Amino acid sequence: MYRWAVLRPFIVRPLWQRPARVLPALLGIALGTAVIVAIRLANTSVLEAFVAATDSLGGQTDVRIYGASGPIDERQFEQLLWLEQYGTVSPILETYGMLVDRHVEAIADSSRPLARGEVLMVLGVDLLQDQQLRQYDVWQWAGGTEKPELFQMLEMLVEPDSVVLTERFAARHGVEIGDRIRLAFGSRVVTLQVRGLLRDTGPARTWQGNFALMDLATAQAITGRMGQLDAIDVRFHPDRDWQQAMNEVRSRLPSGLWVEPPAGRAGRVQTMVAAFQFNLEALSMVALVVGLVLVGTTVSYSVTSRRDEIAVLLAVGSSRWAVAGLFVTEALLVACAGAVLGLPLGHWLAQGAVQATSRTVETFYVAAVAEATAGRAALSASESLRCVLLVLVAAAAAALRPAWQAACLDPLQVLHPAHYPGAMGRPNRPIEPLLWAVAGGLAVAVPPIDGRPWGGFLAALSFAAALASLAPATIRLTASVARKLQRTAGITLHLAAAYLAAGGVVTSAAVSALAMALGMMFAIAVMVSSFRTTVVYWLDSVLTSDLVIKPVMSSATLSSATLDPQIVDRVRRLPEVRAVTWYTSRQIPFGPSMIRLDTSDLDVLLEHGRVRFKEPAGAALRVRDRLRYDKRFLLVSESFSLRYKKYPGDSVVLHTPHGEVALPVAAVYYDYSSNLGTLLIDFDVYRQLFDDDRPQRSPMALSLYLQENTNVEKLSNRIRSLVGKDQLIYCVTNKELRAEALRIFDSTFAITYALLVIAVLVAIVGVVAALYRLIQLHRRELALMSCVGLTPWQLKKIVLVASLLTAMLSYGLGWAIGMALSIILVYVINVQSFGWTIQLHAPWEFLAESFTMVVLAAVLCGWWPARKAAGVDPIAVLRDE
Amino acid sequence: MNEKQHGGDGHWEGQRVVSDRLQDISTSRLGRRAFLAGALSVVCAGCREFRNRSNPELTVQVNRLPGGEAGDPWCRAEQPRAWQFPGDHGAHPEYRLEWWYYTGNVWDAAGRRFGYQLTFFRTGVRWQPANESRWALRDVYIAHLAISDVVQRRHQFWQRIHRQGPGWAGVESAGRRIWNGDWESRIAVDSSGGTCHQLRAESGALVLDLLLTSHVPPVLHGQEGLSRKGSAPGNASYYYSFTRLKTQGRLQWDGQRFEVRGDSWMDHEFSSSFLEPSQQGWDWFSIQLDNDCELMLYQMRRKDGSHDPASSGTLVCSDGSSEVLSAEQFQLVPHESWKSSHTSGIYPIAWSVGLPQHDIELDVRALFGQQEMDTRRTTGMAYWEGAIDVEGVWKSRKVKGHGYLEMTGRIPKNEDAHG
Repeated sequence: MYRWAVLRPFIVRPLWQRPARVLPALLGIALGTAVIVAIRLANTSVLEAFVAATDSLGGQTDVRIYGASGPIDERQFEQLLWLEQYGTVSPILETYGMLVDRHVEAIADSSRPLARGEVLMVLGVDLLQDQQLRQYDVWQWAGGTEKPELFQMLEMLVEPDSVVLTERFAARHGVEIGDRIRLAFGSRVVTLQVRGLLRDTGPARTWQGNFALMDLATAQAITGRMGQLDAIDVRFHPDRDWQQAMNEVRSRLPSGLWVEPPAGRAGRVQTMVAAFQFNLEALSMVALVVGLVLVGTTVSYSVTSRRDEIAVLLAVGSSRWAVAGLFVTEALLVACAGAVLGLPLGHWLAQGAVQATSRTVETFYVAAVAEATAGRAALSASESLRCVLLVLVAAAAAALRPAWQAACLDPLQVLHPAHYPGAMGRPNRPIEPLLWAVAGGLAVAVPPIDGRPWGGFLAALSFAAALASLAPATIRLTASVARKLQRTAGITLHLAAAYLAAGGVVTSAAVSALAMALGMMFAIAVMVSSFRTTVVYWLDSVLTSDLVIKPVMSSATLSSATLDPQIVDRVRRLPEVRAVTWYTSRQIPFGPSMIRLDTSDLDVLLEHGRVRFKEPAGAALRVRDRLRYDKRFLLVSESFSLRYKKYPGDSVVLHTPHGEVALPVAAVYYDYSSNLGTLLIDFDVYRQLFDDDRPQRSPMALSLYLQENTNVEKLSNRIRSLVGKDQLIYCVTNKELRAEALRIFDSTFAITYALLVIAVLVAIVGVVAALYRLIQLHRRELALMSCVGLTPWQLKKIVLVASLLTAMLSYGLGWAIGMALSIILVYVINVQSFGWTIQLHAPWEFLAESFTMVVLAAVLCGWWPARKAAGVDPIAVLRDE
Repeated sequence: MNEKQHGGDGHWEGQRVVSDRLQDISTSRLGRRAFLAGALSVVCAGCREFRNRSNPELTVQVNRLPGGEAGDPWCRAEQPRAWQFPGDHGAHPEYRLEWWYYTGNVWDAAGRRFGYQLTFFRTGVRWQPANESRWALRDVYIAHLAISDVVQRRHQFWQRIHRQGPGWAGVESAGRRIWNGDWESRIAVDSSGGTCHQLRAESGALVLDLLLTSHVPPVLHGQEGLSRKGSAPGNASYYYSFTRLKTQGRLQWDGQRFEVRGDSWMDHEFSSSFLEPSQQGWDWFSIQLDNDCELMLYQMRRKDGSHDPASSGTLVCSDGSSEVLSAEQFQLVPHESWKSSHTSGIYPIAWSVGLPQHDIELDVRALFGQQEMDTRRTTGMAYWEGAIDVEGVWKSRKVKGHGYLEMTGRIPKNEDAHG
């Protein structure tokens, strides 16, 4: 029976009186909780921004019609006039523009790519229709203080260079009615006049006020997208049944056009980033895992040092469950305190996490989640509660074994004075690592669920646990080896090893914790290094051109920033340019997610070796051959191939204005620029299928191959001066592009490194704590040794060597864990999450450096316990006996 | 844009201002669809005011055609014009306002009667579109569609407003096609020299597919088609009508299909003039009698209750000749009224029409009361437009007939404010 009366004096009072004992565990839990909270906040805030934008933009839209493989040709609009029988029809152009200010211009001038300007979501509408779908509340306009009538607002919008911004944006930038602002669309910079400001409601709330409203005609003209629409929004008549109307519309739409509710797009984005977010959340658990191991350690130590009291409790009639329950409660109390500390800490960390995450998401997935717009997010009360509950449950689980060990004590054995503390507790059964390993093996075979690599992470955890549970055996082995080597290595080593081995579960727990943390750190380091090496290799092989030209506003996949046709023409005609390759990429819906549809002049692309093929063998030559007689095929990226199970010979269906077209897959190629999955088709085929030659006239990037001995820098400057003030491009060499790509890569993983450093720090704290506890446990032995004649310096040495041994054992075990984990990360998790295969590459320098650091840390951390050990008063200790 | 009788979401406060202004309209002599001209002119007035306020130099930069005022590019109706058909059935974009207005009474084989209205409006908003985009705004196109079922005493209407866009609305030359979304009228000259109009409109439960033919040329109103609106020069419109179009075709409503025949009336009017602001509204009659004569009358009502001398009409005789009627030559006396529960407007639905000098006395009665059109969302106004029966004496002979009646400006001021 669990006696509440016992809890207070047995558990609570000692905790209260000597909190230092549980400090490492508390810290570990606090940090772990903080990291989980921060990552959870980062993930939700980024998506929330997007979902909120979709909501606020959607207004009263019931369904959205869009091109299945690109923008809608407005000539199709005349065949859609029947839509009005279902409701109000509003054609729109939805695009992104970047605010061009002095700052951005300065960066662009210096040719550093990806000038990060503030991005606005721009909506071009026909107000006559759109005002029935979206609420535009004009706050200020040039016409006076009263709100404008519909036609006045229409007139305001149809002026040639007119834009309406939001009051929030205006407040942030000090913009007033009549001011001019410059926005970049692709490479083209336009000057617009602010003619109105919208109140912060409806669409004006999008991206926290980074929203601009234009007339549809104006939007088409300034973005160079005459003849194109991005979507047609429909609001059904109130008497129409939504589902029936949508089904009817869907059946009547011509081929190449799709219809879905506005939230459909948000759903796709969620699917796109799901793997990325899941991985991040899984990684955030690492810090918690270490904290949990520390909780387990703390409880173990508590059990170990209080075995006499436990024996008494058992002797006077406490049930085993009650005793176990007491220690689980101890763990819960510590975890609770840690979690409560961790919550506000997590919110504090969140800002950095949000920025880092949104930058990555922006780079790879969603345009315009600009830093200014990743707003202050906060976890709701229920979410916070869920985090805390998770931590508590995990802590209870971690405390279960030591608690049960306490409960299984034989009081008679314990109270016998001859009982030796280190022999208490069952040694780890040899079967245990085996069980974990088997579990891990099974988990590896589990395919991804919803694109999330659950199996991979569970396998990683299992293998880590398997190896960590080898710690006691490893310690015992070390001790016996040291004993055998004492003649050559000296007695200090033997004593230190024995000292550790005698610590029993305290030592092994500390070693396990540090080994886990180090192992995870190594695994991530190996994975990142493997990834980086693979990407560098890939970049080196595909970045073969001398100069690359892109629009400044071209950061992300959802942004369709293209180069102005004039620039393309002028550059092509330069005498120094020997050859040019170009490409255009477009995001299209595919299944529940999105993929990219890329097009280029394949022959030229392949001639310049811009594509690295994965399969089939000899694909480079075979594809070029095939181009000669039949261009109707697809090249698919590895991510696409793995995710959708399409291999050479399979076919993929594209939805074109002419109907569904199935194209065969000719080859699979490597593409590390995005995990979305890409289809690459030759431009001639693209033009036939989509009646659109824009990708060639206005591509997203131009790669130039120059004549021999051309001065690249001079040509760069010349090109920049050629394009004039109203174009914003960046013109960079291969080297700069490569450096930029790697910079993005590194910044993407910055957050991962941060997490790991935290985990390792926590583990080190655990080691220090363990060393202190060891001193407590071995007071008697230390006192005896002191009496027998060991000097304080020799005692210090023993502790220092013990500390060093701990570090090296942890390091060794950690290394093993790291290798196992990295193999799973590289070959299972990465592949399942992103569809990238990467070559395993261990960063030996890093591993060597870390060894030095761990050793140094161990020595430093061992210094204080060593001093304490040397300061033990033997007479006082022995007298207590 | 499918509205039932009580449609109009009115979420633009501006509607109130628009309607207020319409209450202040006055004209001296007005084309038939003056209220719409009023509404549209307010639209244009609003636009012009805004433009003048915000960008004064714009009006000076635009092209000026003969007839335009200084600073205003739109042509004005000042002199009678040389009409050319079928060319003039098309659009006249140099004038700001224009409409093609069809109304008619049709019967199916079993004698079930319907009244219909299909109107296409064009309003010039910008003289020069801002850029080459097909969406660049030049004209706004509004269309109204209404049906009255006499047996069930049921009336339904729809309204649309569009810019031209890539074929959303527009007018082809010679009126070959006048359309707004999937509502259209196609005007053609047939082999015998007659004119036919093919009307097609579909909206929700209603499908209209009618062929209207006339073998006589259109009737020019006023002075050879120049219909004066006010005392100031240029305050006028160009205006003609097909006063009797033989109609046949198909009508489908609420799943029931009817093959119908009957008579229709078509007006085409264009102008750039604005209205003088002292008028309350007007009442307009189009009457087709069984003696092959037609009568068009309108009276402008002033706010003080009197009738404006600009009121006018046209008498078309069976031989095709037409006579212009001045305000003194006819009397319109209202009798029984109907009150709208939706707008609180009070509309006389029974009238006595007298032309003493011509020995004509007619009784006009609306087929039923609820034929109000709440088109505030597109024109800023609610008005009554419905089918009528006519009976009386024409030069000592009994006559019967049918037609359409239109009444505006009969909504109490505070009600008109509600969108």
